[in-house]
Amino acid sequence: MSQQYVLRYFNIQGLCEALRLLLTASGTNWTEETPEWPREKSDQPLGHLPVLVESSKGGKDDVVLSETLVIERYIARKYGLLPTDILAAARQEQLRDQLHDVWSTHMEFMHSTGERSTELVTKFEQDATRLVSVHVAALRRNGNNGHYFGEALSYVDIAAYAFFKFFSDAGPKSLKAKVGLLNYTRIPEVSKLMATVEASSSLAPYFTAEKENGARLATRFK
Amino acid sequence: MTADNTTPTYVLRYFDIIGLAETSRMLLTAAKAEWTEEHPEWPQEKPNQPFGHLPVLVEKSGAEDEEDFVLSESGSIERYLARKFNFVPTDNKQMARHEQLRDQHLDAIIAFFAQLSLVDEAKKEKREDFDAMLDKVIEIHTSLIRKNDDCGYLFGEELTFADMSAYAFYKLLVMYAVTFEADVAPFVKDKITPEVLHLLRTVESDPLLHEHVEKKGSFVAHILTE
Repeated sequence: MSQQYVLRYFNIQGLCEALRLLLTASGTNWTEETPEWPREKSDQPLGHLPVLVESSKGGKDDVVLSETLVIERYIARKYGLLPTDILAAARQEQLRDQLHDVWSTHMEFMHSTGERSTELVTKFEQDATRLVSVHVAALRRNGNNGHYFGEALSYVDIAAYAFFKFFSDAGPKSLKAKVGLLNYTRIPEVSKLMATVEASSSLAPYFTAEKENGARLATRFK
Repeated sequence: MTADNTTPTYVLRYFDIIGLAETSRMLLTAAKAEWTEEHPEWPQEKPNQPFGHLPVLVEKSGAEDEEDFVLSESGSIERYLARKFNFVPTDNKQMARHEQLRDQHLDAIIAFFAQLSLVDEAKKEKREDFDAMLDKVIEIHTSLIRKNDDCGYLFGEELTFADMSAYAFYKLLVMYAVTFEADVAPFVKDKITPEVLHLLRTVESDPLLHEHVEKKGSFVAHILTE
């Protein structure tokens, strides 16, 4: 039974770049749609995007999922990118959740003002510093082979790739120095990870399309 | 090896608040796991936590030569416990439904806390986001309860992760978020539908959570008597 997926989202990196990579790595058949917004907001199960629609061969909609990380884990588990052993899976998920937390802090900062803004810069700095040390330790523990666990591409490799790519721009002025903490070109273990992910054969279609899709990837801070 | 104590024990590190740990507390209790809670000195113990945050779950295997398994991130902790103790189905799609609800609860909670520090127009807008999310959550809970023959659980006929997450969601807003903005408690209580109340009663009266309710008090009684 051939599965077909439609990812509904805006044409930005936003929350979805890791998911796009995961869908590509899964080798499955998928496309993307950009709903009219906010006209189609109320058509979505939870009134927000992203939404993943899975339909089976007969064209019937089997599953409609919301919540980015839930969709990520669903695809990752289904296509063997996340281990079935719950302890091993938890180890990956906590690292990925940490990446999401720091990204969220950055997003909150972008919409904040005044005292809260200042608080968030400090929080971002602390959490980003911590994140780098935790992730470097994990990569080293695995022998610095370009993967967080084992020797094959997995969920957290992909999520980390999307995260560090997102922050590889200079970013808004006030966060500039802090975003520099996440500059992977200065972190050997993460540079190795990035290169390894880019060389993955299962991701070749994504990187080919990226050359044509430059517009989306250039709008990092939207 | 004939170890007679191969059952793991757990330590949950968090603050002495409802916060983000209530679901994990319920899961550990409902699982009949041997567990204790630690309240680290804060922020002194911050650097000692793997990710610099709480909650943290420590699973001790009981075997002498085995390292403890230390897990951070409340979502990861909840999902690990839910899976380990069979409070979610093993089927990928069904599990995703539980997780989706849990993340939706968290989104609404985050939206509430995000508007606290804002003022004027920005606060109004963000508060409206929270209101809309809350309405959506209640709508979904209500619909699921009805679809499930009004038996009082969200899915199936037994207590699951989704039920515990939903209970903790309402409890957090009415009993914890209220300490930040008093009006949120009556606001949420007014919106609770009969189906949601049925869910809360069912969760609270589940034998697996008897000990939890004994210790923490009845949330349902709190809603009904104020």
